[in-house]
Amino acid sequence: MVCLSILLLVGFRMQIERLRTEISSFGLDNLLVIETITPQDISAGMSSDRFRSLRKHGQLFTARKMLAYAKGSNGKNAAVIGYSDADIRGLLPYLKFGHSTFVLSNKIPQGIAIDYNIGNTSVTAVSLKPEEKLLQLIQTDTLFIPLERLADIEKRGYSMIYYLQKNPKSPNIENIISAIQRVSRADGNGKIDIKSAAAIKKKLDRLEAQQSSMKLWLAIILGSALSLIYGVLSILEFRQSMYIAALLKSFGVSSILLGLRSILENLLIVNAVTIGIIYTLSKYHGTIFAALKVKTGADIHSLYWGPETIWTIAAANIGVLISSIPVFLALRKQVGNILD
Amino acid sequence: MLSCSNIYYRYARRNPWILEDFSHEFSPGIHLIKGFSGCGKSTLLRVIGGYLKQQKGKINIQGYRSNNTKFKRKDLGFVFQQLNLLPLASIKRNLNLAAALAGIPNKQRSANINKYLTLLGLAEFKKRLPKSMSGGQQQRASIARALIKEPKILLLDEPTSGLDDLNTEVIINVLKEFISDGNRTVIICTHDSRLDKVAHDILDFNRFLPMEGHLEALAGTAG
Repeated sequence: MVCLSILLLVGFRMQIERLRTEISSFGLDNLLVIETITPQDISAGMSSDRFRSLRKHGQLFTARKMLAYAKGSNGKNAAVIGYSDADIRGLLPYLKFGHSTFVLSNKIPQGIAIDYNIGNTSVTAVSLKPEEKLLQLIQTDTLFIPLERLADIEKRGYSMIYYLQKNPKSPNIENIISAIQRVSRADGNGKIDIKSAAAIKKKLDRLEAQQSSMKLWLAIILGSALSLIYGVLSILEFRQSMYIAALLKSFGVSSILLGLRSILENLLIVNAVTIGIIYTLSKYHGTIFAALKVKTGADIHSLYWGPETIWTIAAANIGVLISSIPVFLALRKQVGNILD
Repeated sequence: MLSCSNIYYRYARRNPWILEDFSHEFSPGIHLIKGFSGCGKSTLLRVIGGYLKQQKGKINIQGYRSNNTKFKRKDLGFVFQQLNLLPLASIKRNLNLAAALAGIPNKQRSANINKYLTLLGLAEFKKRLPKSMSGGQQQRASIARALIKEPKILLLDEPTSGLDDLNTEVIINVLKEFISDGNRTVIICTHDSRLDKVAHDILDFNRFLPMEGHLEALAGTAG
């Protein structure tokens, strides 16, 4: 029971920690809109710039992610992003080095020239390190090429990326998202995918509410199960405990001392077992969650020795206290009515 | 000095009194309480020992109330009719537990254990479990356990029932030795007339029987 409760609560905690990390790395004021533009949309003449007006709400990075990969001379594939004159403003930190074609990578050292093939097009790109604010977009090596060199590839369709870092004074993210959704619904063109910390925050709030209610239920179930197990044992041992208690009382041992001894003994056993289980789980955390195919975070200690553990230990202790009731009933009986 | 003043006791509210307005003073020495089965002898012994709480009246034992745990721990020895030796502990451990709970220091504890086991003829049985001993040996072991803390008051419930003359004689000699300092009080509930010769006082409990309702009570309660 303890083992299962701890694993469930740690699982929840891990998910919450992951979302919190995502929120803090994404930033509460950032918004990513990805609009899928199909060849049909292109031939229908749909504007791919319709959300550029987001610029008035903050710093806007725009680019087109092609539905193609570039094969590099270093043996690695890179995602392909095309940029037009309208997108240059967001790319200035990279264009200032004087190379219109460049690859942003965390793994390749800066300043290395790499040849890439995209279909029939060959380009040479210089490697640069992405700025921290672009890390949300640049998760693999990404090749940036002026759009005019990708005319054939662009016709196959692409994803239009709008990455907004909102000004603090602009309307809040929820309002901007709702405006984007309204525009998208109104013209019926394109498919948009919106990612913002606000949505993650909502998910986090929901998860935290679920975790609170689960904590309560697990505590109730665990406490009840332990009360039941210890209670049944106390009842089964009732006559024996009553006899031993009476005998010790006849030697002058006080009822309070006997009651405390019984409680302390049970508390010692339950707490030692619970802490032992938690320690073992934390020791084999990686193995257990790898077997469950769940990614684990680095700070295992705080996962296992956090508030959830205190809840579990408290529930176990309350269970023990409830199960001690039969012992106290036995202690209330007069010695002379038990020993002949 | 042990005094009982106006003691009333009954096992349940609707039952008649088993002890009704009982008053008596027990001076140091050996006192026998005799009477019919069910007349309340064992009940009186348990009330004196503080193992049953009287509904009315007072028991005073050298300034202590009988249910005082300090008094019970140090100055009261009780031998139950059913002996109540711990079945999974050797005789030595049974004695050691009682002595340890009485707060007797380790060294004196072993000396007392050896002394009383020898006096009661059990020296060679100290490592034996109670169930591997005869009824008479268990009875003597139970008395040794009560004597081990050398209490001021010793209460014995039918200590010689079913014992042969030889075993009874051993117990009589130990009790004589026990009270020899003139400071200790021994109260024995018994039917056994072999103990009469050692008694300083014999209390005929039949005379305390309440007239009405007691026969019905005898049918429903022990001792």
